[in-house]
Amino acid sequence: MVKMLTADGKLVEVSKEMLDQVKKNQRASNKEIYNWMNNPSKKNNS
Amino acid sequence: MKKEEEISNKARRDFLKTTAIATIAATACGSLACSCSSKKANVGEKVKLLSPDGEIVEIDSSYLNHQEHMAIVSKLEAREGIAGKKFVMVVDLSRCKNARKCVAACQKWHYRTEDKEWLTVKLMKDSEEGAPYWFPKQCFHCDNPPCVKVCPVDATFKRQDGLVLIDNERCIGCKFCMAACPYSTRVFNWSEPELPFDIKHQQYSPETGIPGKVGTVEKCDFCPDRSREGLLPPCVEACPNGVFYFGDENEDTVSNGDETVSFSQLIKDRAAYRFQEELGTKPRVYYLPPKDRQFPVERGYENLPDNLKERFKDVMEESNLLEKK
Repeated sequence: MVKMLTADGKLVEVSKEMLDQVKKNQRASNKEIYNWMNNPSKKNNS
Repeated sequence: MKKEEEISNKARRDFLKTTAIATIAATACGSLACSCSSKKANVGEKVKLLSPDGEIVEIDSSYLNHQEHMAIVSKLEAREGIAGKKFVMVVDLSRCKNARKCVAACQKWHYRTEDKEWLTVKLMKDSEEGAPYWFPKQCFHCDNPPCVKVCPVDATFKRQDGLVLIDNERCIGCKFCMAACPYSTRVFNWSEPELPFDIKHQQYSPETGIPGKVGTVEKCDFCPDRSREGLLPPCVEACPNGVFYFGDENEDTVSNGDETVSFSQLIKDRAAYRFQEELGTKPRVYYLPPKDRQFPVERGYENLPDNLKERFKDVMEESNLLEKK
């Protein structure tokens, strides 16, 4: 299991196999992370 | 523009730092996986997550395991409370036999050691002739709380859902609240709490009181993090005799896990009272008198460890329930 964060700061766990399936090996840019954190719909993201 | 970039860089640094800690925790404590709740969200809802190597991935929410005790609300929301709720507790004294399961469950849930009891069970005796009875006592979350009035830094506060909480990040440890509380339900955290790695490094929330802070005051919080999820506090769930009822006064419903009853009817039928009500603090905990008790008081004394027996020895001897030595 890999521990990851949701945009609203919750700690969640995802299985490594699942993560490997969805990973694109593209590191997010500063702007993408900024947008992800400030996504207005983040309350519905968990 | 430059400022925005700085903010963006800072935000990225903060998040990567938190993620790195989470990753280390995952590596070091692989076995912790089983301690996570198995609550699943709706299938089909996509959630964007930040992976440990800085990639934003989209995963179906049904594949997520939520980590218990993680702060789920902002500081502001934690101070405001849950809208439309008015939490209340009813304690049925006729059912308590000092099994102490509530105390253990509370300590386990809040990662407190055995010497820190947010919930204690006292042995009460109202008059010389009267028989003693077991009396669980925790913070009463008063509607007119003296502790809130004396706090010089606004660290302890009353919420709209009736709960009195402490923000340990604001608390300066002056202990004014402890002196003001007529019920002595607050405890001071004298030493650095011993916590598992991931709990120690998780984001603090006044709703969970975790991670605990040395040099600050703590107390029962009625577990609002569980209430948000529609769960009963651990003390209520752990009690084998259904002593504690917890619920919402606005909905007029309380439950002890086994039965759900009308709050107003229960306190009316059983002539409920509030502890030292004459002080005008308006506690949110009601007691049902220990009438027709289900267990003899000795039952709660026999199997206690020696250090706990010492606490109650005087009252037991006075009541001729123990042989005087």
